[in-house]
Amino acid sequence: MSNGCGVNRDPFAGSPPAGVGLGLRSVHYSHILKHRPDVPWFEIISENYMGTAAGTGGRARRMLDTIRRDYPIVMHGVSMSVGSADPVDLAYLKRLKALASQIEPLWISDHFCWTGVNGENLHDLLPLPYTEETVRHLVDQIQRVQDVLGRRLLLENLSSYVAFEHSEMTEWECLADVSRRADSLLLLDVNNIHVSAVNHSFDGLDYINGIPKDRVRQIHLAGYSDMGTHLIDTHDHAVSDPVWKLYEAAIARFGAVPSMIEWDDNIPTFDVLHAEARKAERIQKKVLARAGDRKTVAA
Amino acid sequence: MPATAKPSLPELQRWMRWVLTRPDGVEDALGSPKSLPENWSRGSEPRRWLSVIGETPEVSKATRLSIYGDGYFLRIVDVLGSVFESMKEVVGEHEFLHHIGREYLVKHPSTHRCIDNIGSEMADFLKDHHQTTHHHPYLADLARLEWAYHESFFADERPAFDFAALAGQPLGKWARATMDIDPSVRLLDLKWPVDELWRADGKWTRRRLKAMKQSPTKIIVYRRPDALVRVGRLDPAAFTLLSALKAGKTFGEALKTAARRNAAAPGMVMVWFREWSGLGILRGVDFR
Repeated sequence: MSNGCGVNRDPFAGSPPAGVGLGLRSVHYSHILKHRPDVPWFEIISENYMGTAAGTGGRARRMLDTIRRDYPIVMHGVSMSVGSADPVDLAYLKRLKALASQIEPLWISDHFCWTGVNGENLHDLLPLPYTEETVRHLVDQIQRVQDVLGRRLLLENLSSYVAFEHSEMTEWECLADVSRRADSLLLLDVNNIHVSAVNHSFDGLDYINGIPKDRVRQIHLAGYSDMGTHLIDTHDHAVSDPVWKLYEAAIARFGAVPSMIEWDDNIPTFDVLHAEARKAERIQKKVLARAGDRKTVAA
Repeated sequence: MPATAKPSLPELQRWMRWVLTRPDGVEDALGSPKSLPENWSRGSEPRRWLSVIGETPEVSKATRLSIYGDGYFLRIVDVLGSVFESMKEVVGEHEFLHHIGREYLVKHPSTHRCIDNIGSEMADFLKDHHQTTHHHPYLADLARLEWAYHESFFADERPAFDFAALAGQPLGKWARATMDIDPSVRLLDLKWPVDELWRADGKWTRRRLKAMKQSPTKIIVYRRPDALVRVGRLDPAAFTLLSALKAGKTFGEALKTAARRNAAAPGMVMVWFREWSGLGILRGVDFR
């Protein structure tokens, strides 16, 4: 791997992780420690374990350290704000890197968005216009991040509620271009594709088919809320049927990409969450078996 | 901004930050004739900026922006409410969500990457929030206690320490020794006994709130070895001693200060140290 920024540590060197992981949420700590469920890996929200100005201790870190002994972890952030017109926050990156050095995650991801500007943080994942200016800015910011972290970054597509008139390309063209030019990777959120597809009247399949096959290293699945005129990405439901359909298309295109169920509000029991993961595994197997059959027939 | 002009990325983000963080909502901000900052580089009419947002038949541009604008306050004020839970119960959810929380956020917008850092200025903010503190004069003290609890929860960890292992140290060495106090320890010198309110966990009556009287209260907040945060009262001499030790004073200096408050303090010190060591408050002694 070479991206001209001195990054050469590939998180996927060796045996890549597979299967369907789950988001690690505090309500499930006790269940996980007691039952040691058969889950291939857990994803954490990085900021929940980076501490505050007061320090980096407390129950959450203890739980993570304990769970890490038995499970691989991937780190997923919400505050990197690579799309902000502000320069990347080096202090934040150092703290992220410090957590990574202790947790040794399989990979680190964040979002294709901005969360604030002029030093203020809105703590939301805000959309970008898809312009050449944005592409250049993102490539520059991502390369800086990858230099500091010493590894390639995965960036996730958003659910969005506004689009910009002056966009010069589609969201998927922008993602593809940025990931190629910055040599970064993609975390494809299939639920977000569906939500944005409904909100902005495009075809989710066009999105999936427009993403380069070699860049997608993780998939997210989640539930949304239907407001009648638009969808909102609320992560408080089971995965919906249209999203499962799109997931089948994604697996058919990208193969057995590690996938994960996000459920952040009205969080169900661990067993319910785990059942969603099993469903995703069954879909993966079904789609891949179908693809295998086609190859056999073609041969 | 002219309707056809294409804003740069910094311009677009500055405008979005402005319009999404207006306390009266996106619609109100867009309708306001002169509410954009004076040093705005392009045009001053907020609604003209709507031309940058894509048109859709089902949902208006302002409504789409409001999904973000409403979410901004809801999300962050919700976090504030989980930190200042007792305070929210005292003033009522509506007052907290629609006044205190929002006004706090307008005055102290987040500059943090971690949302858990929001709220550090709440006690000072309340001092100027006369409308609320007139009815609840103890509220700033309650906010200090709840913020101390929150900070203690996240404080750095220190290894355990066995005070008994120091039994053989000659007495002469103690005067110059300094103590390592656990980073989770917060010492609060409050005017009101708000720990009673906090401990009641919402099970108080309005009459009891009204009857609360000022009473100097020395509080310690700390995280136990089992990671649970505890709130307790300290004897004034113990409070003075621990405050001095936490500030880096030597044991000799700290003890002198504590003895001025209570002549019996020197006799209690070893009892306190043993107790503090067991609770994870005292993490080490440095004999110079």
